[in-house]
Amino acid sequence: MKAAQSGAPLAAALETFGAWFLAILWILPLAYALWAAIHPSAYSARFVLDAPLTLDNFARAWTAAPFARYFLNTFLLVTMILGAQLVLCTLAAYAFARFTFAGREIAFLLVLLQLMIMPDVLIVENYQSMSALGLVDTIPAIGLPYMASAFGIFLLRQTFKTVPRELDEAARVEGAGPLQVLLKVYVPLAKPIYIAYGLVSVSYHWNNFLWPLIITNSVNTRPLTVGLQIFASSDQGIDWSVITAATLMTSAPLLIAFLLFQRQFVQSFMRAGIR
Amino acid sequence: MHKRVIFGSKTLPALLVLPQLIITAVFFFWPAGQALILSVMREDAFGFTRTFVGLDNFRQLLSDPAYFNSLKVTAEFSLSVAVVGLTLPLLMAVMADRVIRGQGFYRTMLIWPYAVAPAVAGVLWGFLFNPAIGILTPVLRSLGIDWNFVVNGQQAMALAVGAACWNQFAYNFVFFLAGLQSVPRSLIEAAAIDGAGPARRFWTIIFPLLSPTAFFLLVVNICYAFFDTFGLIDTLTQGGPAQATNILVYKVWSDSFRALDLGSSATESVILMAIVGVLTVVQFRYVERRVHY
Repeated sequence: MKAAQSGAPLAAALETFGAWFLAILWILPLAYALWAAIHPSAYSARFVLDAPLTLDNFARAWTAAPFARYFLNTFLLVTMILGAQLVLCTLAAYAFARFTFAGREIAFLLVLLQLMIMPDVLIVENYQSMSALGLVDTIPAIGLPYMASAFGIFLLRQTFKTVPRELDEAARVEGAGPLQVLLKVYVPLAKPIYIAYGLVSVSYHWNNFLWPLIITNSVNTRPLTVGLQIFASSDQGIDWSVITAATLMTSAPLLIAFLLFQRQFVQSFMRAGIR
Repeated sequence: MHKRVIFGSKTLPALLVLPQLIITAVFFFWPAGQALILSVMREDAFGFTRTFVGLDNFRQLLSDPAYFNSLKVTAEFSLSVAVVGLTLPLLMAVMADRVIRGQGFYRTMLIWPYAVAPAVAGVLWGFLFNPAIGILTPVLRSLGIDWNFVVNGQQAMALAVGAACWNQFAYNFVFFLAGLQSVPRSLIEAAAIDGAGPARRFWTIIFPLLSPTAFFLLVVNICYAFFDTFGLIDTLTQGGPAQATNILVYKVWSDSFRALDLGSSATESVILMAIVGVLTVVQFRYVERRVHY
């Protein structure tokens, strides 16, 4: 192989060039958004090195729409969904993995069936249910349909099944009840799966759009994605530099998280990426 | 079996699964049942009585040119996203496997766009390619393309496919890269010694070993194109121009929340559910096979 490579240094150089060219092409939309956001709008299409830097676009975006509130809403939403998912899925997965009870097979079949139904397909019916429950335009309404994640149950059940029975029994001999065993034995052993699932869930719901768009209609509940869509589509003469600043601002937490925890994110998507 | 005797209580497991079952019942099975029932019923103009009409609603929907168009657009969109969205990451993964210097940085550049929400990607791409002020519009025009995706359906479709692939790229890339790195080096080197060139090595060794990954990603990408791209379509093209990018999930939404045509939206939901069902079964059988492998 070495002989082949040194025989064609030009080909190797071309390949490296091609690889970097494509990668730069890929980052270009974000790089350009950054350029437009940190320069005055007069420079958004003029790439000169001495273009003055400014944070003015961010400041204008921040005051032009209630982004602080949107951030809070998204934060509450994501935390609430993840918290509920972890509790509900852990309990159910524990039951499916380690108990025999009447109707277990049927209940698990229902979980598998749920894997096949996307909440996105049932928006009309779920909207009607929410309005019957009086929950339209509340943050819990955005989260509720996602809280009993079939995928989370499935993933945790598989993990709990790999926990050696001996550990379970040892804890019981020492007098631990079933819930204590769950908390002291199963949950700690499944930590990597919890982290993987958590990262996937947070990034999915941070970016989710369709259901929040339908079920919210006020500033107090709207998450960032919907807030940004409204901000970007309102023709109030806002210039694009401000819109790109808003775009970067709403994506910033995830972009930074991806940068810092790239390895963990990649592993999570490999482990739990199916959703 | 005697171990389970210690577990004692019979009510405990029921209590453990109950909260999850309640949520599933209320937000999955109840609405799914509602949609199924509505899809075979017809309401009178005032919503007082419902009559069973069998598959009439489906027949009517499928003979509706707008719906047929949406089916066609969805097929075109999801196939393009799947094909472009799989070949390009595969190519880049092969390259990334070879780029030795600056590997970490290289990967970060490729993975970053995945952190951007589809709805936000739509805003960003809409800006880059804006017919009036987009930075890339003059470039395309200088290449002789009369770029205006706001009126040209084909261009709108191409742009939506591009944005969707850009957004989803990292996911496919990561899986391909992991797949590539698990291909035994000795196998490749043996083939190289036997005189197989890079192209031949790729097609006869690497590609067959990657094909399970590729198949898994194919299903994931089709699901992505079907549902998760809603936000992208909404912020980029709103299903237009002239319904050229009106994919099924966008049509369900606009029929029910803009046109308030709830009868037809139930039928549309049922068709979508059937499509996801088939995709999930296919994927699940594959995952099972991989587990037993």
